[in-house]
Amino acid sequence: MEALMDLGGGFSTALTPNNLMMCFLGVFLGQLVGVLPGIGPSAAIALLLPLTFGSDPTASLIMFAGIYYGAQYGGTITSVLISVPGESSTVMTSIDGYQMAIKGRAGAALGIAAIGSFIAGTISTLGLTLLAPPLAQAALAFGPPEYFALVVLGLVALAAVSGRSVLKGVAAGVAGLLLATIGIDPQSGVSRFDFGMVWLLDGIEFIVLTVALFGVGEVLASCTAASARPVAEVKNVLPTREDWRRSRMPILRGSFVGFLIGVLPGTGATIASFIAYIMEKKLSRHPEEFGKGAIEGVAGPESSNNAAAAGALVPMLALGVPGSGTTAIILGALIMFGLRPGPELFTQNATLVWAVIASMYIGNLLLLIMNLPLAGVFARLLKVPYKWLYPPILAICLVGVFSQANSLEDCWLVVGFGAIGWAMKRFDWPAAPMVLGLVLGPMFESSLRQSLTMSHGTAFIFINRPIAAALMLAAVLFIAIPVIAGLLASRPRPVSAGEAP
Amino acid sequence: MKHRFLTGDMGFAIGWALLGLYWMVGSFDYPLWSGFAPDSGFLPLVYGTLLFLLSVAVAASLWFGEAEAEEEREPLTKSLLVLAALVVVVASLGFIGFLLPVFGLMMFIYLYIERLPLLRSAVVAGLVTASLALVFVHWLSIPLPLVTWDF
Repeated sequence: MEALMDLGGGFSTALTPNNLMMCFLGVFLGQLVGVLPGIGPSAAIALLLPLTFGSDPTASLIMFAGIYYGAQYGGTITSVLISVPGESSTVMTSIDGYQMAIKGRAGAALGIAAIGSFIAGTISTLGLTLLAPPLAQAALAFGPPEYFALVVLGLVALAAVSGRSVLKGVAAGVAGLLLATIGIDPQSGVSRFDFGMVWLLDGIEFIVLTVALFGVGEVLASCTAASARPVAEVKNVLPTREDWRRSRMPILRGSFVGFLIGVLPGTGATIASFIAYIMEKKLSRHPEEFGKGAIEGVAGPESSNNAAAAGALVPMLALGVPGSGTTAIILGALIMFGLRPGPELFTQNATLVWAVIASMYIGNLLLLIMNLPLAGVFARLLKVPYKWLYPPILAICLVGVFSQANSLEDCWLVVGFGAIGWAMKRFDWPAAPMVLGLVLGPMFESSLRQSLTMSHGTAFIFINRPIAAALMLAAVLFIAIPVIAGLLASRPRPVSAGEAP
Repeated sequence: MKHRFLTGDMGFAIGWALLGLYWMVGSFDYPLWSGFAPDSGFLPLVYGTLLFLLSVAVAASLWFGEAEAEEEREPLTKSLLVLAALVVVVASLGFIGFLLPVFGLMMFIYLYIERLPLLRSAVVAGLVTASLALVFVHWLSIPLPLVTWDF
């Protein structure tokens, strides 16, 4: 009940003209970056960070959240019309969505995706409204050991699922932590790894690394494939009665599954959409239609990835642990605005948190309105070749990074880390854990020091306290399960009798 | 087939390992422990060691792992040209401000790398440069050095 009252307060903040405009801008930009090739929500938020300096954190975060969940809608359009997922979370949609488009039913696929996304987004935002506050309340009892364990869990969870290799993910997270040690140690005042350069005393800014990895690095990786593709026509976006009958249960199942998976740290929308697709195929009376244009194959994963996007905000807002790469950047933005992510956010910045949550209800409605009549208009954007887009993106990266500290050295850093980001993309090293490592590095160090001071130097404090122990165990499982699964999968299978050797 | 040691993946993993090694060695310049808690050098030592070990493990998995079918990777030339253009632009920012290098960067990519029509390229590059100046200098009041005499 209290949550609903707080939500009411959130609506009164979110419905002010400025915040409403930022919400519209966020979902519009999210939809746009979801549609446009070579730029995702992470890059879009990274590019917009310098523009939000000194502005109202609530309005900025409403916009960032809008970009995040709006991109899920936009990614669907590319998946259905050209079979190129705009986001990794819409990969499953492209299987049946594109087949529907080939059969001349692109409009129905986009329509059901938009309606399913709206329903799922609303259900999961309701879940966020009800689940996040008690979780944050419970987490208020956290001390330094629990915070330390939480940071470990967040890093490990994101690292373990970000790329194809757990090793590379964890290494990238450690590299981020390592970069966080550059500059003055806030505890002792000693300057570390500054290479004798005064401008490194403040360390490496989160914005610089984010813009470099997700802006410049992404451009360098994608500019080689900058050609346009043929786009299917969009007609009749309103689904038929039969479409709706076949889609309503997949939408509901996708909403709940997506939300639950999104809540788990590190999993996010991509895994949610995979699971929803597999589940729908298993439950379907016509599994043979999957892969050939089954509308359930669009409705389930689309609902699931949108539900997961809101679900991933639960651990981020309540615990300060991001559920995905993009929420890791939003977490960095929170810190950039001088806020402390974690359970205290709900008590110390309640107006901001509830306004962001309320804006998600509004944003989902805006997206539904935008997507049903305007799907064809957004589809036309697909005809803009990437070669016209990426030079302005590079220009924005340079100017944006310079503007945050008026520093030319930051421009050099952005080029250097951009080259590293390109290599990471090329060699399949995930970039999100690196950014998260840099963001969480100071909290990691201070909570470790405080914990060990409390325990007189013994590390058993992380095992003796039940919450910290549970979080550490979860972190160990996140690493161990994929490694064990990989080892089991690589073991040669015994040859059974009758089977050819 | 290219020797496994000479691949970009391997070189990248070794690069990270060397960075970890540098941090490990460098951490001994700082005190490691003070009282009950770690001091300035402790976590850099831990991070450096971890990065070194993990990167070596990645390199080892590339070396000893089953030879996978080589993935089709995009050619390097265009990305390297864009990167080189960025280096030139950043090097010139300190001397001639932002307007000319940013406009020049876009024109170079449109005309030389992408072979796009001159007039359309000039219009897009001009509009983007003007918009950036408008947004950052006039709306956000950021002291962006647009030309030489702004420094």
